[in-house]
Amino acid sequence: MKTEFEQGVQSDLRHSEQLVDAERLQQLAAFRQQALEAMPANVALPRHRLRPLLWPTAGMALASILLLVLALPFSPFKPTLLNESLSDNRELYDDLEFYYWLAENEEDLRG
Amino acid sequence: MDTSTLKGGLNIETRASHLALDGFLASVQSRAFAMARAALGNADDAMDVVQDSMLQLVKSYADRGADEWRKLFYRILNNKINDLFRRRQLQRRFGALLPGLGHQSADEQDTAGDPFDKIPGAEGDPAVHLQRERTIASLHQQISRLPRRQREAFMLRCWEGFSTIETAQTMACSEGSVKTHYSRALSALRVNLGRLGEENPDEN
Repeated sequence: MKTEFEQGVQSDLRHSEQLVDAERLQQLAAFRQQALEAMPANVALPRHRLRPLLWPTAGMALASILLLVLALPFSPFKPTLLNESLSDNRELYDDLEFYYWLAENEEDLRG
Repeated sequence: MDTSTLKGGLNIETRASHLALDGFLASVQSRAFAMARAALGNADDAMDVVQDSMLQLVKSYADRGADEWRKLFYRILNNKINDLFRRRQLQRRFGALLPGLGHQSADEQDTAGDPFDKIPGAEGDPAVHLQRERTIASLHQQISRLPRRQREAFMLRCWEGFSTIETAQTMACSEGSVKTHYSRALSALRVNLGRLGEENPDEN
C-alpha cells in the first residue's frame, strides 16, 4: 500500500518518461536494434516457455511409475503358468508314495 | 535490422526470442533513460548507460525468460550507473593532477543542472505544466543526491513498481535491507523536497 507521497512521486517520475524528446527516442530505438544485432545466433527457447511442457511430462512419468508400483501386487495375472506347473509338481511329489503303491499293485495284479 | 537477413539467418526460436526481446527493450527504454538521467543528472551519460545495458542483456541473457529480463536489465542498469559514478569520483579526485579529466568533469556539471533537453509543447494549463516540470527536475536532482543503495531501492520500488522481493532479487540483498534503504530514501526525499517547497513557496 503506497502512501500519498509515494503515489505522487511515482506519478511525477512516470510522467517524466514522456518528456523524452523525439530525437532521443530515435536514438534509443537505434540502440535497441544494435543490441538485437549482437544477439547470439542460436538462442534456445527461453526457459519459462519450456516450463509448461516440462511439468506435465514429469507428472505423467511419475503417475505411470506409481500406477505400476501400486497395481502390480493386485495384478490378475499373478499366478503364472510356471507357478501353476510348480504347484502341480508339488502335489505329485506329496503323493509319490501313493503312485509307487499303485504301480506295485498293478504289477502284482498282472502277476 | 534487415528483416530478410533475420528470416534467412535465424531459426524460428531465435526469431521468436528476437521479437520478444525487441518488445521488452521497447517497453523499458524510456523509463531506463529517465532513471539513468535522474541518477546521473546528464542525458548523454544516461544514453550511454542505456545502450550498454541493452547490449549486455542481449549478449548475456537472451535465452532467459521475459520475467527474468526485467530484473536482470535493471540490475545491469544500476551497475552501469554505479560504474559511471565511480569513474566520476576518480575524475574528481585526480582531476587536479590530470587537467583533461578535470575538464570533462566540469562539462558534466554544466549539463547536470538541466535534466530536460527539450520539453514538448504543453497541453492544458501551461502554468500547471511548468510547475510539474519543476517538481520533476527537483525530484531528479534529489534522487541523484541519494546514497547509492537508497537510490537503487527507491528507483526499483517506487519508480519501476517492483515488490520488495523483486527489488531484493535485483539488488542481490535481503528484503529487510530493501525496506531499510527504501524507507530512508523516502524520508530523505520527503524532507528535501519539503525544504525546497519552503524555499520556493511560489513554485509549489
